Amino acid sequence: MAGTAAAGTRRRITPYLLSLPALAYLAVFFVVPLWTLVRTSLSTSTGSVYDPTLEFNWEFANYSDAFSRYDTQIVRSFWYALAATLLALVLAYPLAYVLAFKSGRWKNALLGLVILPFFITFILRTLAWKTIFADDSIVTSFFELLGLTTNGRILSTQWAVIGGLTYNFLPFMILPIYVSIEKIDPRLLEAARDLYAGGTRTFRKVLLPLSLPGVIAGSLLTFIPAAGDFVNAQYLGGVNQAMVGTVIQSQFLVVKDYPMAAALSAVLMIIILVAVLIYTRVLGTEDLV
Amino acid sequence: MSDPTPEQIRWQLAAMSRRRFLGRSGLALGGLALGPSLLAACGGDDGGGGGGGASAADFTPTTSDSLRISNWPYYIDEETVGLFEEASGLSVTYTEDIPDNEEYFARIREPLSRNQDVGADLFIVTDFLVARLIGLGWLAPLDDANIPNKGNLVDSLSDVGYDPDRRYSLPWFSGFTAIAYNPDLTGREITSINDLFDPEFAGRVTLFSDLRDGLGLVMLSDGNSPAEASLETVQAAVDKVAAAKDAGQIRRFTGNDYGDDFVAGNVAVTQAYSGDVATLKLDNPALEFVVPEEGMLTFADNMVMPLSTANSTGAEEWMNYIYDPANAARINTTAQFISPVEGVGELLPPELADNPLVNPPDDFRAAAVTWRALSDEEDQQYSALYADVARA
Amino acid sequence: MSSTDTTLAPAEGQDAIREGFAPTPLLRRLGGFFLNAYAAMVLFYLFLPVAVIVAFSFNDPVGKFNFVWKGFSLDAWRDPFKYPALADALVESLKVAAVATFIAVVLGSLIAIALVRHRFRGSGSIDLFLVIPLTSPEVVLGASLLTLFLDFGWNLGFRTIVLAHVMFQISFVALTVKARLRGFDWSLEDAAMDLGANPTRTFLRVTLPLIVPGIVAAAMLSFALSLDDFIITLFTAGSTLTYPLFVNNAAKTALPPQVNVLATMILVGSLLAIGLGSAWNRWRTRGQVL
Repeated sequence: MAGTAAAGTRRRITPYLLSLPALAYLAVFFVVPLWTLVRTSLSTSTGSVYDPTLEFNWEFANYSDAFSRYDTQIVRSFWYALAATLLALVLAYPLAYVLAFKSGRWKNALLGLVILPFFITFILRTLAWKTIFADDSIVTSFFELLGLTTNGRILSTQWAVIGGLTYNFLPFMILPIYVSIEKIDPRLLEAARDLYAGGTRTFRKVLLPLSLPGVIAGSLLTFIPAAGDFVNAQYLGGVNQAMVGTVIQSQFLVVKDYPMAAALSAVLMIIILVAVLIYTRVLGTEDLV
Repeated sequence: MSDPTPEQIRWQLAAMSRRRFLGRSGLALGGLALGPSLLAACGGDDGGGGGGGASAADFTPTTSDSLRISNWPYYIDEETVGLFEEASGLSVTYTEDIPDNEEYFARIREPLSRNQDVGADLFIVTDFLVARLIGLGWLAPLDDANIPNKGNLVDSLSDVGYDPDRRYSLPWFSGFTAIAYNPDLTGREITSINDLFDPEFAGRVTLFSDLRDGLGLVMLSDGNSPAEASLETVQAAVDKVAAAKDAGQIRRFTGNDYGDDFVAGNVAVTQAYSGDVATLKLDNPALEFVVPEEGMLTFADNMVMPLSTANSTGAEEWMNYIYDPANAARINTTAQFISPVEGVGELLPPELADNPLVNPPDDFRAAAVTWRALSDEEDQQYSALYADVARA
Repeated sequence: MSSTDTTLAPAEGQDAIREGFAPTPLLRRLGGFFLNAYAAMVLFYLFLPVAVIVAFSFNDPVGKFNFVWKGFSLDAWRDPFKYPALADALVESLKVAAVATFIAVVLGSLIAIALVRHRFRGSGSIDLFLVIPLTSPEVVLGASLLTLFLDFGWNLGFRTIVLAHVMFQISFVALTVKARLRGFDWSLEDAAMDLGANPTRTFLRVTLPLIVPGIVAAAMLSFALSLDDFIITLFTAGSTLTYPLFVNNAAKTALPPQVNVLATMILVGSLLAIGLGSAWNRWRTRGQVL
């Protein structure tokens, strides 16, 4: 019938048209700054210390320098981010499930509750945790009884930082998993049960695969920002909890070694991207996410 | 109805295709169209750029009926701004957006280097940053004719290495950097900076992450004065801190936020600023500030104007107002640091006038040291050495 | 399924195919109970700091610090707007978040639809590209954005903050909406069009309602992100103060209880909004079987 050719063309250019606004935006407000970052990472700083001229000369030594000087912090950041992501997953998944299937009329209200704590700024929440976990608080004493403290304290240890990361990124894990689970037809789960599948089998064979996109999205939205975070380490951590973000911050603001800060940022970004690629390949999704 | 004219047909065709186009990507276009206009409607353009001159030498005074001041938090009382507005007729925007010198410098560096507006006509930063800004030539010179009260500046601060004759800056407050401790946790009196390194307090000690304040005190504990800082003495102090860090002596490196842990009882001995003591004691009266036997450091925060200031005459009027002892005393009762204005001591309430940390006698000032002026390269080198321990 | 036997019994002569642990009804009820209890515990964990913040708004403000409980007092509540800069900063943040979230949700949702709905050349690269903004450390990105804005000759303020926020929100939106769209049954669209709906109508009446939960979730996340952002805002705000900027600056020295009071007010306001929305929703769907 008339119009299929036109419809076919429309079909073909539609995705490009839909992607165009976001891509155009990012081209200006992300790619350009990113390009500045990459250029700086391959430059050397000359001239005045505080108003330097950056000479671009393919200085790959910046990268090897960054890697060798701060390998401890790099590894540490990935460990913290991984731990926080796993913890968040364990906490978020059941809650997302309950929200999606078992909350009935209260669904939207509970969703609102999940995001509500984040309308109070990060610093207030973190200071509240500092109050809760103060060295002589009830909570800390309780944990001390369980033998879970280092030197009788929780603050200024790695678990305080990991806890802070987990807490602050929890909604980023809950919401994507929720939207993914909510889409599943509950009758699929009923059918599995009727076919004599037990709880774990249903979960493994039906629920998990169908909610996997949400799990992946949530993991990415948690792991990636967590790896580059530094504020949790700053407030909740002590001397041995500095993350890559801490170093980037100090190299940039205090030492003003802009090439080093940029190179370290680039190293962080590249490693995260590689990790993400491996993660999504392993989970067997046909495209990236 | 008659047959449509060619124009009408063209119009209708255009309308139809528009509708289809909008149907698919209407949201996108709507967003694109709305977005910028929303932004334009809401966007408040700040004062214009390109200030009163490209360099200090050819700086021409500027004036307007508003004055924008940027300062540290809790550095002023609640009435002075209002009273100044009445007295001068200027509309003052006082923003407490400077929590850290380097952070502030990082924000204003780009605009200042292009002589563009930095969001303030007058701001207050610590001496080393003032020295750096003067060296970069980004500050506007003061017109002494507009600041007759400048003569009230105390002698000890009237001629400093980084700004002889005070051509670009005027002190706001000065203070001491030393040690504070919690007797309930230490169990004894603390008298020395080396008590920070006493293994008895392992894990309950905090140091400043700032080079001058943090490392400076450690250098004093080694018997080396920052007034004669050299790479050797700096390195020795850095090594001392690094060893302590590895041994688990230090709980945390802090900025101005050392008060959190200290007040909460998580820390026994800490480096501290003199002006914070009064407020710290309100939360925990047992806390004590100590003038260590090795000596202590002194710092001064100064009022300066960027070259791009939009109201240099207004800023100078403010400085003049501040240097009236009555006004300075009023501010001093709230911000309990050391006023650089002569004659404030007599106007303070007795408990402050007697407090050597607010109204120091001369021997106190004599016990305090400042860093010698560092070249930019030395500054960066020393900062890098300490940052690798304290901020990594 | 109208047989008298409501479970599928194995055929005559076959053993029951028991896969895994098949719980008795009691155990299943118990499992359900524990699941709900677990979820409630997570919610409790989410709100624990909130409870502390609200509690400390009633703290007796002795010094500048608000970490140690001194005594009950309503002083801060009697004078919540004592620091006008604080309220102004809050309003500023809300405005920025509203505008930025709107733009980001539009841009992000469109590209999410493009990536999932259509197979096209370059979709893999775009997928990867969208992840990169998430990986970039804020401090370096913020400084580079500052340079960019100055190169454009723009003044720093509301506009630049919004632009900076949208930049990192887009990726969050795209990822969240994509999670919703994955596994979506696109034949529903075809069915609608077979029944005579044109593309626009199909989109508005069939597709959009089904992906709205994803868009709403993405909007909520982006809004929270924008409200909370500190570093990038620090560089691109000029002299404009947003709520996190104000609080972070003040926190380095001390935080008055008024900050807690305002935070509690935001909380209560949002709870009321959620409650009203929920009540309206329940009234709207009364009598329906959900």
